Amino acid sequence: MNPFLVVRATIVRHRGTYLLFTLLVAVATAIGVAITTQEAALRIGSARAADKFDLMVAAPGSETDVVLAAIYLRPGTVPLLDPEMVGKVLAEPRAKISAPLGFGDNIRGSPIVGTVPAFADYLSGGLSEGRVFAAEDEAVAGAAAPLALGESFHAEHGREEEHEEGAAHAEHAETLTVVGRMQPTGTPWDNSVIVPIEFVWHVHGLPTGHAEGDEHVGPPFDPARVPGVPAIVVKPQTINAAYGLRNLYRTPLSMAFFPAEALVRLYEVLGDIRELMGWLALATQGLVVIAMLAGVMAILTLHRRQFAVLRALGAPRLYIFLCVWTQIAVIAVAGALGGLLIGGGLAVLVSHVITRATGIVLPARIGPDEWLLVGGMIAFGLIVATVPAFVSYRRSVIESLAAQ
Amino acid sequence: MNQAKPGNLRPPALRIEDLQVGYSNGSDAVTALEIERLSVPAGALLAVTGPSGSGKSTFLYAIGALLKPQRGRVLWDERDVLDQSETARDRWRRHTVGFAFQDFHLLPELSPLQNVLLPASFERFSTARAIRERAHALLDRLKVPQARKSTASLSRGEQQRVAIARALLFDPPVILADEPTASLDAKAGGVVIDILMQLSAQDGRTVIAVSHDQALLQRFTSTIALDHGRMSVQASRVTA
Repeated sequence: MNPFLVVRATIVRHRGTYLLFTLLVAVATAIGVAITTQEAALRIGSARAADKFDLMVAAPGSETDVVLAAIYLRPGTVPLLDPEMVGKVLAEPRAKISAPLGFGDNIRGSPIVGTVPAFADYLSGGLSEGRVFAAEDEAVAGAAAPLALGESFHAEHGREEEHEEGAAHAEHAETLTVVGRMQPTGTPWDNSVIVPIEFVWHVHGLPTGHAEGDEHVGPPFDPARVPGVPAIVVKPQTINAAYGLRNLYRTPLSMAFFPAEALVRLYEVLGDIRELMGWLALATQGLVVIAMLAGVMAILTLHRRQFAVLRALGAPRLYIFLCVWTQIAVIAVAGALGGLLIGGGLAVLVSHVITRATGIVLPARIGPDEWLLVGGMIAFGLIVATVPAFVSYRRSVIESLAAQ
Repeated sequence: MNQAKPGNLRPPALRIEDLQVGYSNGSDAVTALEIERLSVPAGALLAVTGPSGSGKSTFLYAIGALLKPQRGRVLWDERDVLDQSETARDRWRRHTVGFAFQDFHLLPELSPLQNVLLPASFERFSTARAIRERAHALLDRLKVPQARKSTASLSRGEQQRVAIARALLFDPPVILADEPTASLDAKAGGVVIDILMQLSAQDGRTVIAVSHDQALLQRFTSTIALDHGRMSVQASRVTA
């Protein structure tokens, strides 16, 4: 049995209506696909960005604020860690790297972050060109930062986002020269410019962590000469050390946490939202399929005489069932697959926009969840399609032939 | 009683016994058709006439095994077609009876050839090539322009000829036509009547047509009239 001649003729006859039904199914599917794809991309992208931030030590407060400021380089107010604690953490023997982070300035919109040479190298996994800064007036540009190797510049005070539009940017007098470029990391740090923490402290009139006249950058620091910092990234030597340090620096003056844990808490909230939106998308899909079925039922009523004629010509009831079922199946399959493409495309577009805004690379990919969603949509359509198919299957030939 | 006709077909004879078809109209039971006895010889050219609502179409649907009567039998070559399973009746209808309707009921989006081939799509296994060749031959015989992509662009007379070609796809020995000329002008109607005559005279098919068309009634060799579901015989070769 081959119902496609009848199916094709019916779809061609009602092409406008059927196209609308297909688009409705596609849009409903696309919403669901875009939500799940984007949420997964957000998780993966944000987790990757936090990969190299093993343990954070900061002043007591919001872990989320610290994560946003230190890992995602979002402008915000983070209280400074007590200088005494800074001195202790920077001298921590169980840490491979103890990297203080200092923010606040920018160059052409790229945030300038002060830290130690080892962290710049570690974050980049080796530079793509040049070398790590070795003096207070040297800088390493992120992979996407708008600075050329060898270029000299003056840091602008404050963050670009904090400046009023059209307002003049105050520059620090000190000159910095780019001596190296990081490899792409897919994180907001790609757009940053990394400088010695000593430079940040110096231009803000703070002690530089070293004795007067000592011009070296990076550790060891003099605990008595370090100012407060928003956060310190610690790369512990061992896993045991990581837990030990986290416990050690949970004090009234400081908090220590694994960013991964903070992200997990964030994902839980994100997961709840996703679940809610997922259910809403599912409900939308269900309603669209039911609305589509109602429309198809109305069209089929117009065609009942045609089906009765087919029966008179010798078509078995099953043939009529297949004609109706296939029409709806075509809409469900075409709509769901179209929705997969639209939803995937939408997620890629949103990822691109977010990446441009934040620097976090969000890998929006169609995965098993999306295929499951599309498969579910198709399966639901195919199952629900049996209702009008069965109604047509059962319809009396004589009554239909007599119908006007 | 069988009357041999030219051609290769061996059309069955029709015998109706004590047939009663009714339907319920609210709480009332209405009899739509009541025929005590009727015999139509093989290869007959029978017209069925009568006023609107007299049961003509019901008669056609009953002998085409499209409905189940309250009682009685419809025997084609002494085989009660109404006593078979629905699947068997569908198969019997597909291969033994060709239906043609007043409004043709073609699929205008399909080509004439695709419309003619439509009954082949009901088959579980199709012999595509042979059936296609037969469809082409039928359209040639009935002088339907085959180049058209859509049946909608054909004249009404041509559309009815496509519908007749569709009815003939499986070479059925019986043709049942419901007002085949009613929606055609006199000239196109005349062509259709000629075709029906040929199907009987040249091929030896049994042709039974419900019609008000005097041109058709005059040329058909037998006529029965129905009134309120009851039959009166008006012409020869029909035994009541």
